Amino acid sequence: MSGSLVPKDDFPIPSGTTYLNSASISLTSVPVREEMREFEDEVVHLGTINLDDEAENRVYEGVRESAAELLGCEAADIAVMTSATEALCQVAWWLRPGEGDNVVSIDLEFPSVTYPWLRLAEDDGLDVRLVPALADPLGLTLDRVAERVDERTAAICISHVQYATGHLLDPAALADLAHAHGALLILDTTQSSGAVPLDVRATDQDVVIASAYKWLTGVPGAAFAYLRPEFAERFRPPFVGWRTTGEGAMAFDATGISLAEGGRRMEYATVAYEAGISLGAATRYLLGVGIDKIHEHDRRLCDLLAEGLRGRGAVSLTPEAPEERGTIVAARFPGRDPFELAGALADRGVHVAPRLGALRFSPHLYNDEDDVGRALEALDAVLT
Amino acid sequence: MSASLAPRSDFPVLEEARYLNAASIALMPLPVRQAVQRFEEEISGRGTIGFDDDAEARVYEGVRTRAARLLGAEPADIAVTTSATEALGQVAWWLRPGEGTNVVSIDIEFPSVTYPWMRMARETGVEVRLTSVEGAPGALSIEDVAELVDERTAAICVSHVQYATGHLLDMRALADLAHAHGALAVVDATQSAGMVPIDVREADVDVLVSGAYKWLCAAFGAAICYLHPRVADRFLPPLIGWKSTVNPPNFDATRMPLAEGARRLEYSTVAYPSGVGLGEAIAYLLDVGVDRILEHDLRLADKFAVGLEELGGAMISAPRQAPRGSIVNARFGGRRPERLVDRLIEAGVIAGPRLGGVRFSPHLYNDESDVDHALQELQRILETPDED
Repeated sequence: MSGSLVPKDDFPIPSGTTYLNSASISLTSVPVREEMREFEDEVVHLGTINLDDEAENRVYEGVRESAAELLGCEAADIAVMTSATEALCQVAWWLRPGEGDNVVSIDLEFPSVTYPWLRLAEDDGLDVRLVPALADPLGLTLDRVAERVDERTAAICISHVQYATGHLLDPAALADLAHAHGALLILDTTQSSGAVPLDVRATDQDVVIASAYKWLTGVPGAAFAYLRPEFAERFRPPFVGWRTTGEGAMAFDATGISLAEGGRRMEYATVAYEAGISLGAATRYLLGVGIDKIHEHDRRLCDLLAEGLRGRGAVSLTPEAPEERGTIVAARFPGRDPFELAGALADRGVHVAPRLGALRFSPHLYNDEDDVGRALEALDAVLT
Repeated sequence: MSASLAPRSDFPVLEEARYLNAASIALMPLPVRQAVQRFEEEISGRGTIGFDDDAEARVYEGVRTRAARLLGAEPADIAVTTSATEALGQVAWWLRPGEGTNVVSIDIEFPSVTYPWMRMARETGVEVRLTSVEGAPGALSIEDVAELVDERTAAICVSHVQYATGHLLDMRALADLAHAHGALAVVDATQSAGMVPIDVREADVDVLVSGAYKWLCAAFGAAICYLHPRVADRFLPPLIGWKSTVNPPNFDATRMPLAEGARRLEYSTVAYPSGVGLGEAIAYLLDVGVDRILEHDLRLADKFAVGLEELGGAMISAPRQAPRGSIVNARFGGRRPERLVDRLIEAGVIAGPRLGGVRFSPHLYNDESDVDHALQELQRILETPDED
């Protein structure tokens, strides 16, 4: 019998509630919330009075340093953005592959991963190649992706872990595939960072992007982006503003743009400070617990859920092989409407999400085996 | 003696300091802070409990309604973006004016107003024409801008009120100027919205953006963007994500039917507490009345201008007979503005150094005693040399 990985007091979940929806919006720990509140009291509510370099560093360097530790890179390689989508669009509009070029992704991706490319296709005839996996989500493999990559592939843009099915594609193999064709790999780790270990150097990543409010346990409004240093050097941000110039930002020179060094040239305006604070603090909190331990814990709960779901006649959308999945379990109940089922579960205090015709369960470090038991019990009641 | 327009107890910082820096960051009224924190508590402590996909899709309806009232628009014409800069970038990359065309702005603008176009110049060769007033920033007029506009002008992109000088350009005249040349009128109202009454319909501008954390008295992480319906209909947002579509909870990665109206500029999960707080802040300002705020703020700004001139300041902000906002800026020959501002801050007077001058920007929570006190402290500081 394993408990939750962290003190229950750190995540005071409302009584009678079983929260298994971290893949939508995770809960944020009390220590992180306290740090946000402290920053509000000391800086945000005082206008410019305490808004000095030190305060800015608490927001931005806090994210850069913790993200660097999480990903195994340098702080200078990290940009702090308002969302993963924003960061993806920065990269897409810079790369702007044209007619004759292609970008490879998957049709069951989270829309924000494919939309920037579909938008570019409208403008300049780029070929967006989506691996068809909607009809058979379990049939998704790296080979299916590789089939669509060729010498005209400008980028492979894919999630590390799929939002709806939990399917995990090997980041090192994806990087090799992209690089063998002279393409860039853009990896969205919004559904893995904080729950699945990733070393961006060991796996040879180019661009890695994650939002704060899912497995990283921060709040909406902040994201980080890793840019491989060689890539950052030639990166010319399409979206620019007063922060783009880095050290020179406070000179407010409207007549010329000098780009900041490294990843931070992606940043062009100010993020919601509380969100930035949450991302840095939450990442530190998770590192304190240990990503390996979190991964192991979340996976054990997923295994229990998967077993329980199978026993209840569900059809799983999540691969069984451990190396092919993240910390999400999704299953369909033939003949049952997932929206209706999710609503009925919520009425019983069990929070999951209806996605892709299935119920999606996403347990995290604050959950324990009792949560799994309660979810399955509620499911029994709802299914009969 | 004119009192503040809002209860000073709504702005507790005023007990500690004479806060005269709304043009950098305004103070947030307590009810706004509370609204932000309530939402933060909800989302950080309860996640999606009570905040499902449909609730998330509706979260900004209140802001849209209030921003529409503030600007004289329809809620469908309003988008809530993460910053004014983001919205300007969206417009620039959508419009993408090419070689042979030009975009007109001003050389003393806030950089975020000119940068998107300068970036575009690298990409497409569009010519960025900056009205040059740096030599005499106090003398800016719409005629200076008009001189640079011609038949190849794709957009005029300027601030309604200049961040460093307080100059106000008439939006209707700007729009007429742009439209007479087949150009778009793109206005950054970050230094006016919440202080100067705005009627976008009457002004006939095509795009108007405003950040939240200056005169609108809200937080970082949210901004508003008005798109005239004639623009919204054909606007294809370059920043695009799951929220850009008609029905975001569909999560269809293969098609992207765009949302109607300005909402197509909203593309992602963002700092919702900031946006909800912005709605509360606009409601707060509308309750006071923007007409009254302008009258109040300008009375304090004029008092500042008189006092700064008496102290020997060379004014670089708009003269008192010119259209202007509540921004007053003076240079003091031989004195570094950064050092003067540091010493003012030490004395509990909060201002900002901009464009070589000391900039004061009083708002609804200030009263005449703030101005008197600030001028006294400045006089004292000017009488003693800076030690550095």
